[in-house]
Amino acid sequence: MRILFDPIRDGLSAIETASSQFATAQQQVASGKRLAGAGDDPLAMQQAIGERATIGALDAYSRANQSAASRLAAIDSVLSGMTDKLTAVSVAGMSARGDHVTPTARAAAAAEVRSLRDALLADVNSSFQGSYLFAGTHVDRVPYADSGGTWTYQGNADVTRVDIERGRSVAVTVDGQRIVQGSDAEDLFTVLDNLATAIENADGAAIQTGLDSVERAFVRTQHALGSLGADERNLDDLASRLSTLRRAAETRRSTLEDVNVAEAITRLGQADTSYRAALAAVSTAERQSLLDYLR
Amino acid sequence: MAGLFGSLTIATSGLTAARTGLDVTGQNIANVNTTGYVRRRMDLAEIAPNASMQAGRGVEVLQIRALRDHYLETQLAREQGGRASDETTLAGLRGVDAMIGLPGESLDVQITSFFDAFSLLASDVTSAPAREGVVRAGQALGDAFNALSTRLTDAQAVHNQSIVAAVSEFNSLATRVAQLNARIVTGGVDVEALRDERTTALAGMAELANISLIERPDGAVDVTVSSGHALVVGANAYPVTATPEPPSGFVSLHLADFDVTGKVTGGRIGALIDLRDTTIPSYQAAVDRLAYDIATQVNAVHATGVDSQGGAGGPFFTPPASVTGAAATLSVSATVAADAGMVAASGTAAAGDNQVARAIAALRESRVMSGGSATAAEAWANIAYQVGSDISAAQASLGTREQIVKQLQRLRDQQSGVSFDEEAANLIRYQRSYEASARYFTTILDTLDSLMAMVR
Repeated sequence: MRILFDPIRDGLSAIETASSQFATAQQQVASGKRLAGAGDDPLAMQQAIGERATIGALDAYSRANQSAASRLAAIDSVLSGMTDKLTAVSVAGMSARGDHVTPTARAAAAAEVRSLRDALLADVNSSFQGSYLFAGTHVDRVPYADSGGTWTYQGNADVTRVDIERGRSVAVTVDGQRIVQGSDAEDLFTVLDNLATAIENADGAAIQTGLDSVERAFVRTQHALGSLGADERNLDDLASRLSTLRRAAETRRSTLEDVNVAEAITRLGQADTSYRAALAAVSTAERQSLLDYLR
Repeated sequence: MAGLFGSLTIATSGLTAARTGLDVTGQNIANVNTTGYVRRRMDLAEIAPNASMQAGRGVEVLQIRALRDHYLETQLAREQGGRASDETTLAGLRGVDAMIGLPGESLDVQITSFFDAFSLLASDVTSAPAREGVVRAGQALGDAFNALSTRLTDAQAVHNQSIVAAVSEFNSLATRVAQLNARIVTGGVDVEALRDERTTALAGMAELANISLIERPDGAVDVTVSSGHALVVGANAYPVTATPEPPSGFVSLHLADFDVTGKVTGGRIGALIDLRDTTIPSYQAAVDRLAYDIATQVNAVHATGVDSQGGAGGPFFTPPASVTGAAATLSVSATVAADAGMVAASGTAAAGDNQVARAIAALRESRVMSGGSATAAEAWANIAYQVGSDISAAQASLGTREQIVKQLQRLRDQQSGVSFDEEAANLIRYQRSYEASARYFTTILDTLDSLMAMVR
């Protein structure tokens, strides 16, 4: 059979192949990326986009988690302060009971109760980053308005919730009325105002009624704190879990997108060798001709 | 005629044959790099004796033959056409690949940012910057869809221009084939050279479109497109016309009154038509579908909300008129774009109500796109996968085709290619033949001199 030997054409094909492999390896080493386009590995491309979307969602939940944690910490702080103040009210009320208490002491106790009432009002009306914490979803309204000894709840019974992971949310505002009044007939501020008056009047029955109401407010606040604490612990746990999930997704993404540098450098060396070999092969083969021997 | 003068005739014929052999060898070597050249071989024949006791009357050159294999040439042209088609397809798809971009540098970034913005707004629904962020992210998403759609449309336009240029080249080649047919039929000493040139022209046509060849007894070759419509009949060429069609202005191809656009399925033109009319529109349709789904899903949730002024939520995105063209026109509605307060993030008039912002943020993980089968990111990933998969298929097809073309080229070269080694051997052989014939000639002359000396 007649064999036609064309070292240039056959060699060029080998050079192009080696050159292409060299360029790919060089590009991977330089960029650190395994994928240069969807055509390199369609499935990896598809999965990498999915992993990035997962990472995006996890990051969004982490940000929401941090934001919610800040708000819950603020609410926690306020509620803790309220329990202290309610305890102080109970102490003041109890110390003003009995016939042995002097009018001066009663007046001082009444003044303290009124002072604590104002402080509790300030607590309930506290805000975080411009939003009221205890007005339900009416975060732009002062929760309790004071109009000459009458306190009116301006919030609502709804709460603002933030999604902290898929299908799970946490309340970042509080229905203030549930704490301040609950199922009682009067709100805490009216109760405290009446208690101060009862102390001044040495009205033991009224003082006891007031102290009972304060006790219920204390319990409601403690319940709210307990619920809040559970949410905060969940957020801590979730933050840790989100971080773990993100690391796992990031590892998967990196496996899909990024190049193994050691492997890429090895491939670059191999491609370089192949390229040189192809050039040398063409150079050697091209010199072979019968013409050189027929002189 | 016998005798010494007859011997001189034998010597002369040998010299002529050897010199012709050297010329054929030289011609082969000279054309080793000529596209379409088929090696020539000299056929010799003994001139038989015309009297008894006569060795013969020398040698004659019967013909100089081109060692052509029509079957291989036709197969090679067809496969080269297929290779050109695959190369064109791959180049076009790589262009789309660049438009798609890499993960983290493509539309997935804007999709993620858009839902991130709603998530941030849900975390702080009274924040004016968060509202502005939502509007900006929506605009960025719209811009990204608009840009991608424009790039795809531009790619179609570029392929359309390439079709026009390729058709012009195709017609020139068809005209050249017709002209060569005419000269080949007429005959002459340069017929083989004309056939070489025609083979090159036909290969060029096959690279541009799927053609069929019919060789006629008179040596002419008729060319048709696969539908049977004639492009070249003998000495006549029938040009393909590229006619712009409204509303796109993309050209359709006609042969006389017949629309052959759908019939040209091979070669570069076939690949360009496929890219322009099928492949890129399919990507465009998928991108349009995604843009439409995002707009309608977000709008549906947004419409259930209340804006910062307590008004009912309008559309967040300008409602797309239809799926077709949705990517090109996706934009934040003018009302929302003008006033971020019009973002309906709440389910009620309460300022801290973030239900709608949460619901839109939750669309990120909801499989409500692509007919309820994918999230927005998954739908985008599916588009990227489709492009990548098409590229892989084109690469594989091209790789296979390259091997077939190489194999056919080897087979053709075994039959028709010029080998330096073979020509070098022929060179020596004909040189030696010439030297021997010349030596024989001088021997006869010397013999004649001896004879003449005897007479003197």
